[in-house]
Amino acid sequence: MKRAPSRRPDASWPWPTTQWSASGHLPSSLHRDSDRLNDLILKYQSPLKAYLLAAFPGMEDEAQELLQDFTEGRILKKGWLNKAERGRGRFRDLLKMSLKNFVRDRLRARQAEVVSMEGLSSDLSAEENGSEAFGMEWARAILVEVLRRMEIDCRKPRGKKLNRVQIWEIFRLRLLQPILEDAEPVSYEDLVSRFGISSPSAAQNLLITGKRIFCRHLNAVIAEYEESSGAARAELRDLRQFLSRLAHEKKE
Amino acid sequence: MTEFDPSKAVRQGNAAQLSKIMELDPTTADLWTGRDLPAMLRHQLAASLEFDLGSFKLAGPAVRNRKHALAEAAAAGVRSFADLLFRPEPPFELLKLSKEFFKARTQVCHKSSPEWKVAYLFYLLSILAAGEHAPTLSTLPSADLFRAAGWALKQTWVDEKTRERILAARKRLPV
Repeated sequence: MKRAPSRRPDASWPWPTTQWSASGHLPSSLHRDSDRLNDLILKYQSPLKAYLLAAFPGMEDEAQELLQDFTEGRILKKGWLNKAERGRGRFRDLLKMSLKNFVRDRLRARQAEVVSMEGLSSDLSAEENGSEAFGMEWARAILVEVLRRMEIDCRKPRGKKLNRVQIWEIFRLRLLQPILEDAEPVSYEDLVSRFGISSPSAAQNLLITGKRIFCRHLNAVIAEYEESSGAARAELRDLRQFLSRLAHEKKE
Repeated sequence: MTEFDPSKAVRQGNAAQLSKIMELDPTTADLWTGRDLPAMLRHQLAASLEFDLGSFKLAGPAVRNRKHALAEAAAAGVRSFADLLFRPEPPFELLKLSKEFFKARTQVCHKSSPEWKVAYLFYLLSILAAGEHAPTLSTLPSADLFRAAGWALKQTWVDEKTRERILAARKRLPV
């Protein structure tokens, strides 16, 4: 069974912040799970929008409204969440499929409109683009959250363990920034002088610890929506494979 | 220059970039690059003996002996690895500690990674600096030490002073 993350969304999350449980849209049967449902909706909103825009080109103007209707008409519909949680494969895939069917139903009902015909012509490659966009948004959201938590964790005062801030800074300067900006990493010499690192073994320990903290948060974030450790491992493997495949395809 | 914002950069990141981040792993050998080697060598030479050798895990009387050896060396002005390894007659006890420390480092680093190369060079230097006493410090046969010194001399990142030290020490190895 998929489990929604326990953390509360805040301003640092990239997703829209509608409070569904407070909006009166929540079915009474799910009131006890309102926090969970809020998280669920907020968590998937941005990947779903990316999917919608890529799988149904030409629907940019109504994407937000469609997503709103989808949330109300499907996710919040009595019994839908329970049905979704009964172990029917990956929850994200079910959401995508459900959104696709929802949009198609909506378009069929409006067949006379030009925009609808464009939407109905959604083909296999558009569907693939949609899935790709969804996966990318999903990976981005996870990494943003992991890095946010890692920075907070490292900046949290911990008595004499002052080098936690150094760990974050070195991780950021030596690994994150060069990867994300395709830039040369800060030189070893600069790092050592900037942070007053005592020896190469200390420098190595700081960077390895940074990677360990990153991996710990990555596993924790995934474990919040993949309940069993086996499912969490599979999810991480799938995410890595997805990104690696996409990176490889884009390079060719 | 604008401040780097990891969240913003991830949101704009492409698949290749996100893939590299998702693959970060504490056990992979991607910490430093070959370009860092000269700076790493300088850093290790300047590093305090007390910092590296003092934190090295030992047990029993060895801890007391280490404390004594480090204090005695500091009193004689031997405080860094450069002080120790470039000295004509370095304290044997410290060379032994240094050798053990770097041997342990080579065992935790990925072979041939920059950090492994630096640790291996200092492991060798610790033995070679013992001169004719090298066989007491290491079970490595002289022929192996000779070969290892040859490896060190081939490394382009090794500075002139260290190179000279290796050459001189190699000449003093028992045949």
